Amino acid sequence: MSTEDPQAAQDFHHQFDKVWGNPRGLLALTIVNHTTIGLRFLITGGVFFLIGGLLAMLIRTQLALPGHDLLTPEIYNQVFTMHGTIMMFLFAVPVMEGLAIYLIPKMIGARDLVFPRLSAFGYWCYLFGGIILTFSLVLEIAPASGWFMYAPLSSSVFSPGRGSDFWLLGITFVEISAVSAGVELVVSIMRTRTQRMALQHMPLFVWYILAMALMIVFGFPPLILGSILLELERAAGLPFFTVASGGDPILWQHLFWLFGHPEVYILFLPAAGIISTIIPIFCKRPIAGYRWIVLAIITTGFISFGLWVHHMFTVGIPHLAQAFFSAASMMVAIPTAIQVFAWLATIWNGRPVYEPPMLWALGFLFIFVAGGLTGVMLALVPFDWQVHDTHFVVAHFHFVLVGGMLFPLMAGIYYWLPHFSGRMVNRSRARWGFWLVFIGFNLTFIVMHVTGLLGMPRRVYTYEAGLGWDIPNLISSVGSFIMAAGVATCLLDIFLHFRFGERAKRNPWGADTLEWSTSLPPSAYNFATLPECATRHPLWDTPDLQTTIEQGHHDLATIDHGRRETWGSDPVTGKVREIVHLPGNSWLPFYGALATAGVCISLLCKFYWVALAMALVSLALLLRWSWENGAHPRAAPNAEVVEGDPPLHSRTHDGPGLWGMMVTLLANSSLFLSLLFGWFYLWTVAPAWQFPEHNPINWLALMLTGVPLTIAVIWFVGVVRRLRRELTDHLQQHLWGISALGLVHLIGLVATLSASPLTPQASAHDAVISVMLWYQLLHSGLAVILTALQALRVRKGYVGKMAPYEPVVVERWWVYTAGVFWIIYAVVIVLPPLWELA
Amino acid sequence: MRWCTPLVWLSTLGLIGGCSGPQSALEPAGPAADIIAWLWWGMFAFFTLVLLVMTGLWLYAMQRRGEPAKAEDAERITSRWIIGGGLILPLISIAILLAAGIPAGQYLITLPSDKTPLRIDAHAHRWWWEFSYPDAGITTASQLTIPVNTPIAIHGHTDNVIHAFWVPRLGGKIDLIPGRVNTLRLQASQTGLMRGQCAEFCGTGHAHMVFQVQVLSESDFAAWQQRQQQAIRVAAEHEPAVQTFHTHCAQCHSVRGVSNGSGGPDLSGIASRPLMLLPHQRHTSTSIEQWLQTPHPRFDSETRAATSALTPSARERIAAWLETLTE
Repeated sequence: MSTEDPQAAQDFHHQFDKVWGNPRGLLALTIVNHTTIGLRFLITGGVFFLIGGLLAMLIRTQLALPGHDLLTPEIYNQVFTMHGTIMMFLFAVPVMEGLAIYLIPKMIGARDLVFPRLSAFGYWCYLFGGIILTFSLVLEIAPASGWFMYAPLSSSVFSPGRGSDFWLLGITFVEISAVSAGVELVVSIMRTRTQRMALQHMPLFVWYILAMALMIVFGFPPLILGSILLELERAAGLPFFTVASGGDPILWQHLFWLFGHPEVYILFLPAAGIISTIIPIFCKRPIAGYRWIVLAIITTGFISFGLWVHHMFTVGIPHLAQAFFSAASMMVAIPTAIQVFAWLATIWNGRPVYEPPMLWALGFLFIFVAGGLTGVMLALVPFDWQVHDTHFVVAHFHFVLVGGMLFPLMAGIYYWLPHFSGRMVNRSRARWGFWLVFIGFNLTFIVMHVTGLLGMPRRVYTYEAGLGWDIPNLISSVGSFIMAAGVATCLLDIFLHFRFGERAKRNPWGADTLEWSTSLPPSAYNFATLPECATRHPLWDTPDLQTTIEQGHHDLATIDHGRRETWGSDPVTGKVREIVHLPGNSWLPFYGALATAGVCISLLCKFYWVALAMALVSLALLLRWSWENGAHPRAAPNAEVVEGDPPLHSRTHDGPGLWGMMVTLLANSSLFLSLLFGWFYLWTVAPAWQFPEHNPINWLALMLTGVPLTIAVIWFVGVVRRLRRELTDHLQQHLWGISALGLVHLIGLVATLSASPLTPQASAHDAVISVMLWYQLLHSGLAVILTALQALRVRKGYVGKMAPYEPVVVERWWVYTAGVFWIIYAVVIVLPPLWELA
Repeated sequence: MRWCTPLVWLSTLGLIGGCSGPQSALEPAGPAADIIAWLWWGMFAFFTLVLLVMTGLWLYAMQRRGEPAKAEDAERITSRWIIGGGLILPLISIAILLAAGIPAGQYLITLPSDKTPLRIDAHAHRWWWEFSYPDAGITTASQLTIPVNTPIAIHGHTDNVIHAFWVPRLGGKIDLIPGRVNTLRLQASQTGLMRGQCAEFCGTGHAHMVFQVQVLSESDFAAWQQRQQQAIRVAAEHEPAVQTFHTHCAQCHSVRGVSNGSGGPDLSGIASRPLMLLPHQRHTSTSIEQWLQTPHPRFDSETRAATSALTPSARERIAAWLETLTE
């Protein structure tokens, strides 16, 4: 449909609005649209930033003078723990995700993210988890063992209150949101780019977010596992980190930093992506060294998983290993330097202009390079022995995080504000805000390096006069208040601009990427029609793209079928393969997150039966959500498409759901690998680890339960293979059979488990085995339920020859479940006696 | 930014002028701390140069006037910057750093010397330090006494949470972890007093987990050691105090030749030690009496439980006796 007639154009957009538009009032809780969800993430993250900043001000006030008694040590420990926790988990990660959620579909020419209900679910989990965590601060029972929660300080012996539980449960809850956003962003970028947007045409920001999302998928599960283990130790006495029972507190440090170091790059990469987006725009020329930068992003992603031990140089690890991690940590300077010099080359080649975003980018450069350089210093092992856990480190990582994340974020916010609001900011107020933050920041944190070198340790609530720490601390405190004034100025500027800012004209900065071809602010569907994009600079090549998109000159212009649609394309070439139909607004994500919050709160209150009931409710809600897919009347009962268009994704064998499952299983396997790491680590390193004389698990019984599982998987694979050849006779009976066979395996597993004399509270050995088997139970149980549901769906006619795509997704779950089973069998039953023999 | 950058750095340099302090890593008093301080100054000079050049380049690039570069020039400039600045510069810097850092680390771990090292066991409690000299059979609390120019082998352990042993003027730190013994080599090259502190967050009393380091000449150290090995003779006037002490305190506190308690700090040299929350002052009978009357509610719940039964006169007696216990 194409139209030049204004009345017809209005009708055209009115029709789109009917399908895509956001409801108001209470129904706004059902919105799943990425633009709204992205903005909600950004605003909520901003609120948490203010809370975290307030805590920082308390810290600086307390430390401004020696012997200051504004805060007691109990409160101070809660304050610095929550400052770090809020800034990392409730501000930095969610805000970056929010920006990505808002921008990615617009940059790749899609109308929404590929799993809209998951975006909404992630947001609610984040909001509820954040509220629960912050509430502990109001009750003065916040976690107080540091954002790193080192065992055994965080254990029930040394932190008997509920503080650590708030942290462990709340953060795990928030991380559900991070991982779901990670999965969704990966699949959206790989599978829903517009026609002909090949990998090499993706804007650099999309590359950065792809790397960030994959790193979240691999990097968060170790901490999720660690938190589960520590909470099990606290609540149920399973001694994973207790030396006397064969555990080891250092295992916690490994799991924490296996997450913690990639986390730094999870924050830095999207920030660098903002810089790589902005600099070319304000220099009016393409980024220098696109390929170099892509290579640098990928290298950073890989190296960042091999550095975590540099947080542990003082725990007594052999020097050779320290030297290895020292060299690896320094290596990360190379991809970073490549990006810095690529930006420099871009500026050198172009004619830059000083707009507010560019100012923040310049501030970023100075602070981040300084922070990177002190980072290289800290990677030098002997120097680290001296300044580890001092204020030097505090100064260093504030340079890296504020310089490497907050400054680029501010640059990005100023850059995309016209997109959010359709208005421009006031340049002079923006400059004031920048300079106050920049000067305040440097005053606070440059001096703090000196404080650290003078010997002031971190996390002390006070210090005595006469150690040479008084003046530098006072300067830091004064600086921090200047910085706070700068933040307030920026906020004021942003607030006022929504009301008084002058209207932005189309593409106000003269940008090159697709997000600026939407209307300002954008409609819920972004693009009325989806343009082809076989270039990195669509708006520079075709300046009137916005007009032709609005007039309906491009693809997917029909809407009378009432489906929300976007392109599904080839992951490499971007060639369109199918139409992805997306679910509309729904209460299910909100209710699902509410039930999950119920689980979290009942665990905190130690109402374990309520928690179990709540967990079942949330499972039921999530299954209900998965029910409304495919040919279900609320999804896409009618598969008709316009002549010449590809089929709907639910009518193919390779929809985005398959990709979603694969990426989820990557995250899941990262969790399982962390558990295996824990097993081998305790086995080889824990000082008091012991194998019992007889393995508490009966090897024959466990093997026998694996037989029906393995047959079920082979059977399922066969069924899917026939389905791919469109052979669907007795499909329903096959699925029932497989589910029943899985049930036999499940019953066998429960019987084996309950018959074995496991004493998980007495030994770390039994505790780890128990967790492995519970993990197996969960997976087998889900496989059985999902297969039974598939059988029901075949009966209902939602799945079958014409809609074959869901069994393919469930197949992967079965294969994974069986793989996990035999790996557990090998490491628990087979390896220990072999080891004894050797 | 142009005017601001040098200003900020100047003020920093001014501060570094005052880099001394009882716990300053920049005022080294031993070979290990010396090497680390040198590493720091070297890296500081080099990296400051890198930062200034980088910032200068950016500012220059921002201000440059004239025509934008032509396509083929741009290509050439890009590869020159990326290969020169992004690959060669960091590779060379890393190579130099590792060439200095890895041997330095190896040297610090072994700290080679002709003398056999003196072994001292550091036991971290919540929140105080216990030091014992297994060869001489001495135990002290919150005060570490060592001979000058002699290698010291600290064997650190703990049975509660993780702590870290750190005397910045002598060298780096080492974590004390339940279930393990970690060792650290240190050596002092000058006599005098300095300060050590727990560096790993260990809970409420973390900020007060301080100890004093006393470096003595070798002959003074030998004399000190000898004094510490002799049993404390109780003067007749303090006999009643010692009796009360046996009833209420001796289960946890040992005093050489008087009691053999465990769990609390050894009190044999208490009058030579700094106060927990006021490290500039030495213990006197007044300060001890005060502590016995109101042990710190936050950091000393054990003493609080034991001393609530003491009468004022008993407190006074014990304090008067403890005041005589010097090292």
